[in-house]
Amino acid sequence: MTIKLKIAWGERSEQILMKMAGYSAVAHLVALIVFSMIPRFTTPPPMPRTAIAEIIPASALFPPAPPGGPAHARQAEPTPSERAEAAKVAEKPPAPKPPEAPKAPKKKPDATVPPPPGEKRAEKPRPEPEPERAAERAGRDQVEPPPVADSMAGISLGGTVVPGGIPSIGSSAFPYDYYRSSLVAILQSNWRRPVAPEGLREPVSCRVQFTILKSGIIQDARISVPSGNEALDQSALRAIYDSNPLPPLPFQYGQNSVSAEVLFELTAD
Amino acid sequence: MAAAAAFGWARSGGPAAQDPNQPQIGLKITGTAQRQVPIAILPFHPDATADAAARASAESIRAVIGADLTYSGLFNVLPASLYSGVTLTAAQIPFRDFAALGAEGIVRGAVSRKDSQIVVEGPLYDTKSGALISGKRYRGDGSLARHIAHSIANDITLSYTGRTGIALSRIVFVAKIGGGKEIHVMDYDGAEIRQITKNKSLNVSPAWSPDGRRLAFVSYRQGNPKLFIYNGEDGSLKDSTPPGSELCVAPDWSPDGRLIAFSSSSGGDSDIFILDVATGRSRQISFSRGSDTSPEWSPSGREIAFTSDRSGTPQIYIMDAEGANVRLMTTSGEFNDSAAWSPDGGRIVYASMFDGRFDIVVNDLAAGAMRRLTQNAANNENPRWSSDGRHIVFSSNRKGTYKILTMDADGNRQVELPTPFEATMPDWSR
Repeated sequence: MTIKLKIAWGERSEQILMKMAGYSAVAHLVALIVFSMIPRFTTPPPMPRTAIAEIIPASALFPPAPPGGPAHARQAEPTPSERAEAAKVAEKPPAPKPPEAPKAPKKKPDATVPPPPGEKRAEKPRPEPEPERAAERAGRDQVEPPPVADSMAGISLGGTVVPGGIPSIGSSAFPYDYYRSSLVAILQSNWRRPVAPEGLREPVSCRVQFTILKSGIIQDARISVPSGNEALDQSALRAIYDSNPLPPLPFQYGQNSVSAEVLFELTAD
Repeated sequence: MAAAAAFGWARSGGPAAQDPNQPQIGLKITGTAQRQVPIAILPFHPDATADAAARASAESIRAVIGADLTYSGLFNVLPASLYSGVTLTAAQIPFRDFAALGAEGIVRGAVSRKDSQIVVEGPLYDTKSGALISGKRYRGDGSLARHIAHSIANDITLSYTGRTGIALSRIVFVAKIGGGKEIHVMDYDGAEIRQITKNKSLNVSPAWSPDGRRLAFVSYRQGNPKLFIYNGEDGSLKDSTPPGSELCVAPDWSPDGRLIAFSSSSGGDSDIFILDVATGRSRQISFSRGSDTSPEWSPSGREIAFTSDRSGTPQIYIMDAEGANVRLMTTSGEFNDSAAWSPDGGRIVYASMFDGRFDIVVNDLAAGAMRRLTQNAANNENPRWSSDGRHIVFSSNRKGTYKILTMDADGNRQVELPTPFEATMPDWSR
């Protein structure tokens, strides 16, 4: 071996040196590629990061206030007492604002965000609609609901301001029909209606009162008017608990909570 | 009490719109009424900073939100043709026009570009009061456009239901590639398929951890079936096979993510074991003479459903999580397997054999009523629930090769999630 090598060295040393350097470079390159690939074949790649860098409140790119005030104001004219209560509520100093959203990127997607400035003005009920175009009026008439019924079987919602000063969900201080619809639908889906007692002629009902916080969390649920039927009362409370949390209150709603009273009615099967 | 006088109230839209004579609040409670919120999703408005890519993502974001909300079954996304006559300006939203068209909610989004990122806002308004219901601004790399759209869809769902939607959930499944089976993950809508294992061996039975960060699965990469845990946060893979437990199959995480139930046949016939993920220790909880497999925790963590052939044919049993109090759940069918508990704990879905082929059946535990959800000349297997309990994912060979499909919990809307390969054994993340 050594002799051969010596001979080789002697004969074409320069050529061989170049060749060896070439082989070496290629071999190193291949090794580098192989080593860099190995992790891919032995460990699976991590799932792509899905976190979003920043979540801050939507700015008022589009002015949120409707040109003609809330349509609900026209659907059901508030009674004088409701009007007075609404005014009372409106006069109250605004609820303390949560701190401004920091500009720095937020890691938590679910971070609660304060309402952007400039949107507070839309809180107050606007009883007087501005003049509107005929087309708009025609359109509005199509969605005008039937007059508000004052008695209905099943679940209904209280409509006054409770003594604590928290607006009631049925009052004009909470002009969000969509929220009431959602609330009823959610309670409906979570109410496991008890079997009506045999020989039930007249419907029996109970009332449950509770407070909904801004986040949608339900607080202080209690039977305000018992039905005398323990199963019904318990099923109503359970429906409330099972519905917790409810949807967050509308972003634009100025208060920190709303009170609700719900009537559950059991009719004969 | 001042609130003693309960006011009834009426509203437009929702089910009331379908039947105006039916008082809405009069919860003549049947429990079946379903509110579908009519919602308009306007084109996302690209602002001056938006480049071509941001403009393109504006339209796809809108489409993804619409698809998410439609899929949820909770919304009626109004077709754009319905409001093609409404003049939209950047200055204001004609709420009244949209209310007239039946829309209860309206999304008026915007897309802009800041540095290398896209900024997306999807404010949701109430058409009746004109109030801003919810609004967040999302910022991220352009590749996250779909993710941002799903986030906005979840925000909208939360605003009407109090529960975050499933738009960000994912489905893990097994793809047959060449001679191997590899774990893959895709978005719940079938987009963004990503390969997790690449070892050309058999990798099967993937199961999401409750927090959606880890996957437990069975791999034959070392010859025998062993239990592995893949961590999606850092991409690490850990052999979690407990000492002495060879031949592990069918892992399922406990609802708190601390334990994994699996079956192992190291002692002859297979039995159910519980692995403590933190300590790596395991204990046996079923000791029957037959083969016990496919354990599945109840959402409360107090019970486990599993398949056993102790009575002669494979049937589904339920036991307490400690292994006691075993009772038979399925009372009909010659072969019942792969049970999955609904998130509310009230229903169990499973595969049952009819005339030599499997179909998916749901058992309402309270009512004791079985209902067949699939019926065709093919196998429908491995059902798993979405986290909201409204949908079921499963695999079926109804078109020849096995594919992943989803359906509503009542069996409606059975749709295939297209994959470029044969796909089986799905599991739906929270």
